[in-house]
Amino acid sequence: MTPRLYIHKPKMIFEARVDLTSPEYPLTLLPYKDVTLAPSDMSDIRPGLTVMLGDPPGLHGRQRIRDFSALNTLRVGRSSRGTFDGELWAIDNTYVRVYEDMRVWTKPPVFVGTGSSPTQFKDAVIGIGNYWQNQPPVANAGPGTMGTIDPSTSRFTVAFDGAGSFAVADGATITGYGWTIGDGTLVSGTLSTPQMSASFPAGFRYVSLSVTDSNGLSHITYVPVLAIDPANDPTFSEFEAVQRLTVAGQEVEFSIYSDVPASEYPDGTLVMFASGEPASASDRSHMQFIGWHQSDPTQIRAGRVATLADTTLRCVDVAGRMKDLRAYSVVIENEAFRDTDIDSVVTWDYMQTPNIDKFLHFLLHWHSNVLDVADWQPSGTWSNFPFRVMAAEGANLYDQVNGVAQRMTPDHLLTCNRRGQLFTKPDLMLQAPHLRVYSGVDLHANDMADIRWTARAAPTTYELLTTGVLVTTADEVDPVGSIAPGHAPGAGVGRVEVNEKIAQTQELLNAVEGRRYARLNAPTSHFEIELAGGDDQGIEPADVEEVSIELPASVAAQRGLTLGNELGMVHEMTIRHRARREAYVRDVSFAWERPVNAADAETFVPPQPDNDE
Amino acid sequence: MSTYRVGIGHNIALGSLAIINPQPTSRGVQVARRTYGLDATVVEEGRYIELVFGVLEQPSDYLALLAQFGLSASVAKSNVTVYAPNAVWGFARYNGVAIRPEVGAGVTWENYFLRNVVILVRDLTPIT
Repeated sequence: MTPRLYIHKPKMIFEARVDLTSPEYPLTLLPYKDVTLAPSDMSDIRPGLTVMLGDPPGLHGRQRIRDFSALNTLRVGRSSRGTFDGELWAIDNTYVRVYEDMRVWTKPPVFVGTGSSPTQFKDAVIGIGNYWQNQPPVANAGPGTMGTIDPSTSRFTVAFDGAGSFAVADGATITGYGWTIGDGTLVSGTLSTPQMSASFPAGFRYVSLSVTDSNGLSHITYVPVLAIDPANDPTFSEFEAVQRLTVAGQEVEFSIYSDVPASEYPDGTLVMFASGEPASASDRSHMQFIGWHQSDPTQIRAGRVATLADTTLRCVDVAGRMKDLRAYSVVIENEAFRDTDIDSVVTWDYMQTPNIDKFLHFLLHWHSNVLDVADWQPSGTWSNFPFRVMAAEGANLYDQVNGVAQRMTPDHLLTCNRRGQLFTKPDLMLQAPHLRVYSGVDLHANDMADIRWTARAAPTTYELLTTGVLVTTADEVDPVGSIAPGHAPGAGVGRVEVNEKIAQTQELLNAVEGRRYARLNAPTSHFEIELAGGDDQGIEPADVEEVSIELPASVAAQRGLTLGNELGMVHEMTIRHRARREAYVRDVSFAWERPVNAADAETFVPPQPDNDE
Repeated sequence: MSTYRVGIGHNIALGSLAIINPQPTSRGVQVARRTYGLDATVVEEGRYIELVFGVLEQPSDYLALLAQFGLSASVAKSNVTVYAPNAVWGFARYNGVAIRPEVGAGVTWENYFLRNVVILVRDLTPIT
């Protein structure tokens, strides 16, 4: 199936000049003058679009439109002075341009006032209001897609499904759906049903879904759709690519043998990569990557007959972009225990009946626009993981969100599949075996061209000590702990501590930590497997599902082990797409973790400080 | 031995395929990559055939040959149907993509003639 690469050339929809002689930073409002291009309806300059300052565009910074514009003023994300993404250098009379382009941005919180309790505003201007009780819902519209128009109709038909949207606030439900399809034509359903299909002429557009919940709160998400006219094909086919897929998302490096000038394809633009055509209007299995250009490793080689310059684009998906976003330190407390002598009014530090899923939503929704450009499904545990108070930090937003998810027992992981959809899934190998999900992928000797692993006799870890609390909705929390392999340490050289776990029962914590200890001391490394014939067998690391491997005695090494349909976890996969003279070929390899038998850890009582009150 | 035939486009019936003139030689339909499973299962990818024309007297002969495949000075690749030997040296029809020879590698001018013209037809899929 022919691979195709689409690099978005965003369309400019607004152009004017900066009208600001003495800007004060941080900037949240950008006055303009001398408009030379504007949409007929200024509400088309909607939140999430990209604004670029300077000439060439972006020379003086790039930011997102934060809200609908006011009179002669664009509302932009909070920006310090600078020229990088998320920064603006507003020089009077320079160009300001808005593009039909959606990217991943941080939303810096702002603290106003002095003293010990300044007032916090999310995304520069949003006060707590009722958000501590009623969180906005999440609109999930499915992944983006691209395909060739039907020659008989000159249209590309796409089916959309918003049924994955959900309400976050306690007791709330989704009560309304609103699709916007741009230049599309409705084919089935309506613009207010969860599912609908539409046909599109050749070209690119964002389709949006807005959902409203029973509290009257709403959220909007955007989906890229590209319809290709073969006579005027905007995609590249002359390229090679290396995809690195992990549980935590994908990075792809494209080496392109055509011109990709920055003036037409700006830094940070949307990139979509597909293999062949969708099998149906609802099919998205052909999509291999949806993300954004991140960096350009460049090489210019002077050879005997020519000086050749490679165009290489390194691209990441939404999870990768999250690793570039700052993690703002957060503490969330159950509002039921707010001490009104200390905090007389509710602030952003409080939440009604907080739980891990709500906390994950809080971090994603209020500190970034990730949910506006990608689907996300929470763990679904909701009230099963309540907490009294919890803090979250991280090196970046991805680490922060993933770190909170890992506190659950068993650990959960923030995953991102190759279609750019985020999920919160349990770590397969820490789950009880009977709860693990099987992917349906069985690999046998005929499927594998190369398999490597290292067996070791010596353990690596002599002790795993875990501490945390039991889930509770009460004011008092019960500390819990576990120790593996028990109070008699093992024979390894290292010691591992895991803190801040939250568990439903001591028994469950002991079982999970026993599996973690067994995993640390696994007798084999991950298996590095190369698949025969370049077929990835539908394996998706981000699904965190079991993949079965059989290695019969007939092919086992002399001292090697055999695998009898053992169900393990795929951690990462590399797919190399190579354009050879005779054919396009793929090399597929992945790392597979073999399951290990585990004994439960033992209960450990963490020492408690004296508390006189 | 059957004759090599070609038609411009895919899924052209045998009776509508033209006999390639002059007739080429070839090593038959080869594969770009052959890998093996651990149990010796053979996996073959990327069928192609190189049609070799030893000598063409004049550039006009070369252009006429390219035209049989839908190729020209401005067209470097063309969908074709070819009738060529399969893996067991019986002749069969394939859909494929013909590629204009690379000067210096797929076609050279030596000693007054064009020599060793190689027209690659790749991405072959058998027509059942």
